[in-house]
Parts: sequence; structure tokens; C-alpha cells
Amino acid sequence: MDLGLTETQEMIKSSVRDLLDQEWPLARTRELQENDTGFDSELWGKMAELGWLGMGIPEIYGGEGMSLTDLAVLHEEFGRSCMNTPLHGSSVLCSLVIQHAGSEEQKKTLLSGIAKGNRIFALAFTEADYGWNSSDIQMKGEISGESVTLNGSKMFVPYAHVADDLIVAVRTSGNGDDGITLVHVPTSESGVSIRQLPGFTGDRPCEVIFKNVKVPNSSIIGEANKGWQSLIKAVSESIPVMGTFMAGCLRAGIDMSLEYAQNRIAFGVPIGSFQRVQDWILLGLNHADAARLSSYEAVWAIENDKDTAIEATASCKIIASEGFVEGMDAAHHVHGGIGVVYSYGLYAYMRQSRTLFHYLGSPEHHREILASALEIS
Amino acid sequence: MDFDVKNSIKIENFRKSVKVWIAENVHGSSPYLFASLLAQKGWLMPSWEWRHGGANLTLEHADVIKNELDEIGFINPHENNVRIASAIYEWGTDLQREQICPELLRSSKDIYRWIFEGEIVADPSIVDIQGRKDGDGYILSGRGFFIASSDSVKFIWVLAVTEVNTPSHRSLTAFLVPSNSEGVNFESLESIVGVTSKNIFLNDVYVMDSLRIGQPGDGWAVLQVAFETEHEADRLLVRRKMMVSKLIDYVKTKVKDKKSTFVYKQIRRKVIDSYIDNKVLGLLKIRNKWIRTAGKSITYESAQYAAMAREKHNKLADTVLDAIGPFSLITDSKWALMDGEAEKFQRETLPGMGPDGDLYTQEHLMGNRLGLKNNIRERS
Repeated sequence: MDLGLTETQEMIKSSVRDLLDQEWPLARTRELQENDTGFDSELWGKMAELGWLGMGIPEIYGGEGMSLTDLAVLHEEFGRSCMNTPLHGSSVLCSLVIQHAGSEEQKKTLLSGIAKGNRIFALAFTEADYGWNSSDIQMKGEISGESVTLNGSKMFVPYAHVADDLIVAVRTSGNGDDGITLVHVPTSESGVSIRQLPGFTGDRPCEVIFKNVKVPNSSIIGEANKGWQSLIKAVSESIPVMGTFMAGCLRAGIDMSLEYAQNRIAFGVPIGSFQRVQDWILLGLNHADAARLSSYEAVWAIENDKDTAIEATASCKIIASEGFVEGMDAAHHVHGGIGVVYSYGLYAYMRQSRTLFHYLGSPEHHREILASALEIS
Repeated sequence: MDFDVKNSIKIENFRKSVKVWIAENVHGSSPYLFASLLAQKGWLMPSWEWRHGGANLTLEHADVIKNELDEIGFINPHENNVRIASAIYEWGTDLQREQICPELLRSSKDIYRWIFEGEIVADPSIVDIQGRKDGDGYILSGRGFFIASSDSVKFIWVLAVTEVNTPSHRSLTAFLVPSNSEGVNFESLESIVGVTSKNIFLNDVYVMDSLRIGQPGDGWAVLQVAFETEHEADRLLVRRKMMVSKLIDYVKTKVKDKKSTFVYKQIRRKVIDSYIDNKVLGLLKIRNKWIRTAGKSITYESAQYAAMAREKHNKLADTVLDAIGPFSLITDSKWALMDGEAEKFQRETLPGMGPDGDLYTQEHLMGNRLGLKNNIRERS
């Protein structure tokens, strides 16, 4: 048993922290989050330069060949700064889809592009009938001769508006796990239109509409009609990495609350001396610790091929999703009115807790998976 | 990271020998008899030196013994002795350590902790037992209350206000008062948990200075050591795992296909959440163990684990009640479910049952460790 970070992981942690603290302090992060695209190409370039975009990509494809745990450490620190970027969607989720399903040629060209920061990928999975089961993928793809034609729309695709490429999960036959095909579609392709969905969201979800989008068969990632297993494997592996991001966010929100409670004076004493205020902070801290530990445990279970990996992954998403929301509610209870002020910044963490609640599967979705694992489905 | 709790072959062999010893000695014996056998071997605090009541074993060996005892659901009827010994080990003089700790750890009788109003760790200002210096000792007066498992008691653990004009948390001093001292009177009260509650009245009781634990004014800090253990949380976790496993079996066989889909899904959700709670508690336990073995400092983590164990235990009892219905409340030999464990579980999760303080006590400790009150993080 060793729950500590390796020397390399400590280095990742401190270098991310240093960079974000120095060059992207909270004020700049807030600015970024409120601009039109929510994306900073300067930051993205720096991330590529530091090797973060290719951290989880094998060296032979131009990446750093580092572990899932290393990626989790990176994401935890991004979470602490509530730094919304396409990092997870492109360098983790889509990268894993390509690694699991892609041909050698696709791996060479697409993965190296992700690692270099030249190409941003987004996964187009969910639709208007939102869900993360195979049956929720209903958008049609038609394979005919040498091409695939896509018609329909995808919803809540994070950062699609700044992406160069999409991996689109479409139904090319059947109605269950079989019949799903993964198609690589450049966003510049004729017939693709992308629109940001406005509202209280952190990761810039988009609606992507495909109107007679025709791409060559060579754009299919993996085997036609057999995309589900690779897709769900990639989603599952990316969940605990996202879990550490959520845990990092929540911990930062709770640290803000702790500091506020120690310094905000009411009735002549710090409000932290009031037990009702303490209760909120402790609740949030419990959720943050549970989310962090369960996410790292799931990463470890996946990396070590443990029999418990499915249970661990489902559990960590339930714990992280629900804990993040409840923990941020607690943080706002501590802060009161100041918590909703833009310049203070707490709202960004709160918003992120809502945005990620359903992403990669809601707690109820993962309870179904857990029920199945416990044989009480 | 590595979440596998692996042991060396040597430790695994030791585990096997502990298992064999427990199997040979626990069968048919009362918890009191079994506790005295453990005490004779120094296994109530195995990592301490023999002269302090321990068994001169390493922390790894001690952990094996503890885990094996947890596995059989053993509850030390003299757990309070262990807690008080811990406080004395930390705060007592060398002489007290050598004289009192072995007596506590090898005793087959309780030496009770006494917590006035049950909330002293959360609020030291509510103590009203007064102590005043008198020659080589102190004179104590006031009333207290405790819950204990037997009538025999050699010492009473008392906190008294001895320091005037100081903040309340610096005003208390800890004493071990011989229960046969002149001026000590008991009044028994029945409780629903099968053990005896007592009112204690102290009327100008003289106690020697050699039975003072820690310096005058250290009483509040001394008491916190007694709470700063994870034994109870570990025991609750073992009980929880057993209960959740039984619940899953029950849901599979007795609820599914026999209740409406709506009811089944409601119950199933609660059982899954209980499973997740077990997971979180297990992870906190592993984390705390790792913090200790890695030589890092525990701050709020011990109290966090203890607090969460209590909170989740009540929640699980509610789930048992919901899933099993009124059958979870009866001991009837014909109708009781899970060999009576369901009913037992309803009672054992009552707030205040834990010997190391209730949920709020542990949350209060957590808050202090985080420096919530005054920006100063208390040491663990």
C-alpha cells in the first residue's frame, strides 16, 4: 500500500500548480471562462510545449507515454484552478478511443496531432435523448460503398466549437451494443454545424448538427458496427481521471470556504467558530476526500487490471458527481452572498459541479452499473 | 499509488497463528473471559512495551491482531481501559505509565471514563465538577453520568474545573479517582442498550496529586487523546460489511420479484448507497493507515473517519429498517431475520453508543484540527 505520489507525479503537480498560479491566476481564469470561446490558445500551446497534451499517449505516437495516474494528478491540479479546457475530452477521452480502436495509421496521424496540440478532438456521444448507454446512441450513420454519411445531431459535446476533429458515435445497425460505429469527422467538413449551448455551464457544451456529412470509410475508427466496446472502455478509463478533476475543484472550493470562515468576522468572532458553519465545511471536506480517494483507487484498479475495476469506476463517479454538487452547495452556505459575486470566483466551481454531474454518466446511470456488478440489477 | 494492502510472508504467517489462537480461545468464551486472555498476552495494545501493558510487537503485528479481532466482531468490554491507557501513555508521568497502564490493559475490570453531560469534548465550559487544591491533592465535588457494561469499577475518570480565570479549555484537570473513595456515590439507571448507566455524585472527594493525569489545566487535551482512536470506527466498518452483504442477499432473494418495481428500485438504491458508504469508509481507513506508516502527520483524518463511521452507521440502520420492514425489529426465534443481526443492528447504531464520542464530538475534533475556530490548527 502506498497512497503517495511518485517523484514524477510530485513534479507534475508542482509544475502545473506553478504555471497556473503564476500565469493563469483565478482572475485570468475567470476572464477566460467568460470570453466567447472559453478557450485560450496561448495556454493550449504552453500545455503542448510542457507535454501535458500527450501525457497519456504512447511515445511511439508522439506522446509522453505516462500512466493514467499521472494524468489523474495533472487533472486534479487543473481542477484546483477550475481550469476549463478541452484537455480531458481531447487528450484523455478521444485519445483513449483512438488508442483502443484506431488503426496504426490513425494512431500515428491523429494521436501525434493531439500530443502536439495541433488538433483538438471532441467526442460526440450524447443526443437529445440524453444518456450514456449504447441504446442512447440513435443518430444514424449510413455506410455505403467507400463512404459513411451522417445525419442527425449530438448534444452536450464539450468544446466542439474549438475542436478540429470529432469522434462521432453513430448507429449503423441494430439497437444495442452492436451496430455502433465510431467515425472521425473534421469539424471543417461540409454539413457540420456547431453551436455553443448558452447557460450555467462550465465546459462549453455544444450542439453539433450533421447534415449529409459524407466522409470516407477510412474515417471509421476500428471496425464498423463494433465500436461500442472500445468506446465504453475509453469512457470508463476516463471517468476516474475526470473524478480527480472534480475532487480538485471541490477541494479548492472547500479551501476557499475554510479561509473565508477563518477570516470573516461576525458578532466579534470568526464565523468558523459557529458549529453550523463548521458543519458545512466538514461536509464538503468529507466529499472532497471521498471523491479523491475513490477516483485514485479506480485509476489504480484499471491500471492494475483488478476485478473490482468496474465497481470502482462506477462508485467513483457516483461519489464524485454527488459529492461535488453537495460540497459546493456547502461552500456557498459558508460564503453567503459573496459566493455569487463573479470576481470572487467561487461560482466557477459551483458551475462546474453542475456541468459535470451527468457528464460520462449520471450517478443513477452508474448505480445501474453497480447494481449489475453486485447482481441486484 | 497502490491500494493493495499486502503483507510480508512473515506477517501473513503471524496472521495465521493469530487466527488459530483466536479460534481456539474465543469459542464458547464470554467476551469478558476472551478479553482477559487477550490482556494476559498484552494484545489490547500489542505495539507497546510489556512494562506498559503491551506485547513488544511491531505496528504491523499489532495491525494484524486488530484486524483479526475485528473480523470476528470482537468488542472489548474494557475498551475504556484502553482509551484511558492511551491518554495516560501520552500525558502521564513515567511512573503513571509503568504503574497504571499495565494495570488498565491487563485488568479484567473496567476503569470508566466519565464524561459529564456527554458533550465535554465539544464544549469544555459545561463541566461543573469543581476541584480545589488541598495540600498534596485535590478536593472534588459535583455530579456526573456514564454508561458502562458492568458495576465493578476501580477508578472513575474525572475532569474537574481547577483553574479559575482561564479560558474553559484550559480550566480542566484530569484525575483518576478511586471509586471507593469517601464521598463517591453511585446511582444506577437502566438503559435500552443492555448496559448500565450511572449517576455519580462526588461530595468533597479527596484525590492524591499522583492520580492527576497531565498538568493542571491540561484536562481537555488529555481527554481528546482518549477520543483520538479509530478502534470504534474499524469495528463499525466490520459490522457494516457484514450487514451490507446480508442486505444484498436479502434484496436478491426476498425483495426482487416480490415487491413492485418501484419499491424494489427504492430499496436497491439505498443498498447500493450503503455499499458505496462502505467503500468510502474503507478508503479512509486505508488512507489513515498509510499516513501513519508513511510517517506523516494525522490532522483531521482520524476524527473524519470516526465521525463518518457513526453517521453512516445510522443511515445503514435506516436502510435495514426500510428494506426488511418490521421484521428488522424483532428477536422472535420464528420470524427474526438474519439470525437476529437485523434487530441487533437497530440498537447498536443508536447515537451515543460509541465509546469514543458521538458524531458531533468527532466533528468538533475535526474542526479544531482544521483551525476553523481561531485559525490555529490543533495538533493531533
